[in-house]
Amino acid sequence: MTALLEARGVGFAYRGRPDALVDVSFAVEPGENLGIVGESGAGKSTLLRLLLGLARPSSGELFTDGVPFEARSRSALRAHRRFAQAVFQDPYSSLDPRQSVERIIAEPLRSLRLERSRSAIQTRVAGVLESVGLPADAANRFPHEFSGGQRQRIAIARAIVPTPRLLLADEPVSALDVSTRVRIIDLLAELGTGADPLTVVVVSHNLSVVAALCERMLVLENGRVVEQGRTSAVLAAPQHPYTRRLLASVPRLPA
Amino acid sequence: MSDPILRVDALGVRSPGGALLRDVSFQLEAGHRLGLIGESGSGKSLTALAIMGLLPEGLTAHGGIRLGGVQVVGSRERDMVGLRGRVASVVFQEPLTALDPLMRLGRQLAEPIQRYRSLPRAELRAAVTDALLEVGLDDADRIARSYPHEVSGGQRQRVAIAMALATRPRLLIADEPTTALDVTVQAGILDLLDRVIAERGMSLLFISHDLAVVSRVADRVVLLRHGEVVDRGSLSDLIARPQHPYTRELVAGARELDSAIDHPRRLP
Repeated sequence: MTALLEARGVGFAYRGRPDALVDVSFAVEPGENLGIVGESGAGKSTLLRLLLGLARPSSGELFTDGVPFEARSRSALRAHRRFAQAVFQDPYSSLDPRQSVERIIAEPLRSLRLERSRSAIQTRVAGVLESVGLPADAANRFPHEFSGGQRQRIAIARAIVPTPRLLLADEPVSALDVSTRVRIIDLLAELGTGADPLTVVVVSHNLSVVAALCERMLVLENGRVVEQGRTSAVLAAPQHPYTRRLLASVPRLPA
Repeated sequence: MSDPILRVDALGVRSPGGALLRDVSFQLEAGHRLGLIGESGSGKSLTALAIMGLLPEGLTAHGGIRLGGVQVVGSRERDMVGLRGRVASVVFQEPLTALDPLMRLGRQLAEPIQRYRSLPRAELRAAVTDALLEVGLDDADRIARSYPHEVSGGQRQRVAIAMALATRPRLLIADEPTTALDVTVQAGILDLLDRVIAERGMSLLFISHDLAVVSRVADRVVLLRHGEVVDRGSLSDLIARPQHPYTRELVAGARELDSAIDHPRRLP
């Protein structure tokens, strides 16, 4: 089986700074969500930038569907956007307040030139609104009229409208209240089961979010992968001292 | 029976736009720990500000807040100055709000120490070192010489806690003190609070949205929603047998995330 996404020995350094990523390798198989776990400064955001094509690795290679991915040209980036979309932490800042929800969600269809006719765009927006559990009339409203959880649903709708194969989710529930968090996690989990199944790569500091959503996980510390494997195996028997410390630090509810 | 260190009695807070807190009542006995739990917009931070007499301009409190036996609502700023620090101190989510970016941490910490007791220079230096050691900063001399941006977020929060403790308050109000921190750093700060509160025999009002975090440091909780108290009691009871629909929803959400650690998503 060809990996949907693969990193082979990826390294990255910001100019004049110590290496942000060192020899990072992993593979994401279709239908197997991957959680990338780490604390501040671990290199999560840098890795995400590389996966989005916003920066290129200083060493090593990325592959999408078995093909080397290099964000050198506009057409390569456009093809990558078709392949992978992203959802970010803060649904307040990631949505343009002056645009209607329909315009926001339709943006990838326009910029990727997937759909031109107004009626076709409306149909697709209505379709993804339903997929993310928002009412059809949300299309004509504006972001400020929605709660944090609803805004994250809008951001997810925008990400899935071009039917990408991969969804890169950067701390997708960290800005949300606990009760809302669970519903957004459920929604992200459901995306892997529809007619156009999506594979989700979640970048998060939160082990429970990764545990709830990802069959596989990897742990980043100081830019290096210190442990990776099936989430159930890593959490049941963490091998690396840092993974053990991370797991022991998670505040747990009394039984 | 001794007076509670804090008694909040039918507290309300109004803005020109309407009521933000309604009929909030609870009390905290000396030496006890209470968790104030709520999601964003519940009014939990506003309650803390009202207790310290620090409500932003335009907001007015009514009802009663007795802090160390003194009525806070309606009291003059001059009278509040005597309560802040001596009766109660606050630690906020973001330690940078409490720290002056342009002043070395040792000098900043020296200020509240000196407010509490005037010390000659050499003794003041020793007191600063002791205060840093008490909050687990073993590298006290280097921290004292550093500016806030030169130390980590967890170290900054430890300094902020040391500053809050320096005036020997009887009550510490901690408003989401670990929310901005990494989980491994959070664990250390929670251990620290748990230890110093016990060692000093202080009271703790711990404000958080996170049930699991609160359970590490407090045994009784008050649950706020939309500016009103919806539930209260012992934390273990609330978690084991949530009665109110909102408590049930909150506990179920927290439980679902918590249990994912033990039962992660598996490959088919």
